[in-house]
Amino acid sequence: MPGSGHLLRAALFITAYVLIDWLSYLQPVLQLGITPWNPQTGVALAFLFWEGRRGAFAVAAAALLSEIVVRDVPAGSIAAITTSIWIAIAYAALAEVLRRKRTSFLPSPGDAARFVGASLVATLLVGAGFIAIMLAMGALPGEVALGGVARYWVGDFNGVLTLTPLLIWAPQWRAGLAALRAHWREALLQVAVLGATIWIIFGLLSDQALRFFYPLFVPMIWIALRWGIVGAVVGALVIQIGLALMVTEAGMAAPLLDLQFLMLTLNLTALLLGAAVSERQRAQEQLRERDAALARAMRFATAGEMASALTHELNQPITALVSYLRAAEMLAAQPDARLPETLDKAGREALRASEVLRRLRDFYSTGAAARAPLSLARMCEIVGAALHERLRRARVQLVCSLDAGLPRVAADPTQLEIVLHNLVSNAIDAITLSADASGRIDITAAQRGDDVLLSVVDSGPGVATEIAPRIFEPFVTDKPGGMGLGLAISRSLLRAQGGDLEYEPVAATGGARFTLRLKVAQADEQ
Amino acid sequence: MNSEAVVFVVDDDAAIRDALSLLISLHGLRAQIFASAESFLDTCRSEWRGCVLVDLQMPGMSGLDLQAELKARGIPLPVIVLTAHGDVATARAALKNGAVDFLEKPVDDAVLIDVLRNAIELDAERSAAAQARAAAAERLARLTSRERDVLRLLAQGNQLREIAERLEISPRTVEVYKARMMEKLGCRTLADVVRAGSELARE
Repeated sequence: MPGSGHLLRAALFITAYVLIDWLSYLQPVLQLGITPWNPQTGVALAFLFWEGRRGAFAVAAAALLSEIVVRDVPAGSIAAITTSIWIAIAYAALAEVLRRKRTSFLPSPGDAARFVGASLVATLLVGAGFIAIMLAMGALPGEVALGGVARYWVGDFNGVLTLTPLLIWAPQWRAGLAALRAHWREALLQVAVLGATIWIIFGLLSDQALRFFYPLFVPMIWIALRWGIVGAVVGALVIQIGLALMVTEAGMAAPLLDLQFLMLTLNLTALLLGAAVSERQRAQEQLRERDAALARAMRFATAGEMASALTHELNQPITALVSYLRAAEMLAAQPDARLPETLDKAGREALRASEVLRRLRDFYSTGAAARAPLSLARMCEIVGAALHERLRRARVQLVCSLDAGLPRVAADPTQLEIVLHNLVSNAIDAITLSADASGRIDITAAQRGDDVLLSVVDSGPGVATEIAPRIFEPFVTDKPGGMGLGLAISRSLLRAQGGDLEYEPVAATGGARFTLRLKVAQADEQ
Repeated sequence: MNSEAVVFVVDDDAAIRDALSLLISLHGLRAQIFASAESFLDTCRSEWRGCVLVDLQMPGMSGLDLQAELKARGIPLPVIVLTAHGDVATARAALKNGAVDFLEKPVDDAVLIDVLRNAIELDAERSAAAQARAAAAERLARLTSRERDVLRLLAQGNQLREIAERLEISPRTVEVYKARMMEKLGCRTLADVVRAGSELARE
């Protein structure tokens, strides 16, 4: 039993179908009421897509009801019933074809082309079948058959192209509206331009609308480029509705059928262009997601190093604290005058431990992806302090020579710290491996227009020449036990903020030079 | 416990040096503090008794470096390494190089004092054994070559007559050598002679 939900949806669909057919009943010909734009077909196909084969009954009923209400059964009741059943069967079959590709409905140009192809064949078959039935019933003279098929086909095809994708995307409308709200000014401008173009072409120049149709491509391409396939479909629908309004309200005399062929071209162009744009947008989205995942991985790697440093930093005061307290316990039992002093020292060690934790909290509470104006000197100080222990053990000197007049840069503090930390850490590893006694890392910076170039130069052996060109690719490393992710992540973090990361060998010393390009913070950010 | 034994606390963290030395002294042990491995090595002398409690991670020489340097200089002080990381690889390296123990910070005082006492005892035993060896060697050095021969043959279980035959001297002369040798070594019984003979064999 299909259930009441299906019946309710079927009733709603039938009402909508008849209403839309009635509204778009413009310039009918051949005393059969064949109109040049059939949006109700698009609605029927979407309904079949959602409801499956069982929806075919409702479609047949709707088509029949429309024949009666809108067209007054021009070819007799048998013809009306036969054509209604034919329409229902043919579109149910098309919906089956589309349903099989439900998961990938239209996001790529390939899918869009398959949708267009399937719809074209199906609408052509429906049109041919309809005319054939009418010919068989003797409702049409044979010589108009070909023209009839063409009219029927273009009307249905345009209806399907403008309405079906939009209705199938219904579950994503809410997300689409949210995206629209974020850029409402641009959307409003596009609608205004489109409306004006429609009014000028179909209103002011209505008798020459065919000649002046082509400027419509400009706003359509703009919309498709900006909003992808969704924009293309909505834009096409707006033009169709505008065209219909001009015909009914302004009494436009232009040949609607010829215009529908032009509309078909416009629809197809916009749909395929929009699909290409959507696919690119999605690819960029995936790239950003991958970068975000890499950044998370790097945060974890840094966190591991942090945890190790933190253990040491925290254990120092705790060791002293525990020892003072044990001593105080013994002093209290004797009793001994050194007790208050020892307890005071214990208290100070507890505060020292909490200071370590406060520094840790500051490190992590700097906020994600906030592009705050940053002082590079301060950033170098922080990284130098964090790596102090390792620099000392490796006997490497870290020299930050930054000009006091250097402007602040716009960057996420945590991410920039991760990148710098990673570069200095790599430099220490490189120097340690080369067993160079006088290890040295230099950080310098210079302003170049709107950018600040920050260089990290080390006295290590440099990057092996055979991997140097690929050093920023993931999993490429010359470090024993290295993951080869650090530089890849660092570069993607910087690029996401409009910056970049480059490598070049230092000719004089054979060492490595990594240059970060960062954006100068704008005046209002300062 | 040996009264001259000292726990040498080597740590770059002033608070830890202070707290550990206080705790150690309250447990009745003597403590002496050093801020770095280098300053300890500068003043360290081979006759110092006790043990070294050293931090693993320090600026300059690490705890492991200090341990290796003491070994190279032939200073037999037992070393106990303290670390903030429960790092298995480092612990293994320290123990392989002859560290007595490996403690993780923060360390429980009962465990710490126990380990320190064991180390001091070990050092005392080692030093006593070394002293006994030195004394025996000194006494053996006073024997003439004939007295040494008699000692060796006696310790191997030979009778006086057999020794006389082997050395081609009269049994009476062997008696005289034996008496002089026993007097020089301070031996009263044959068992003492056998023990002294084993010292000789070791030389």
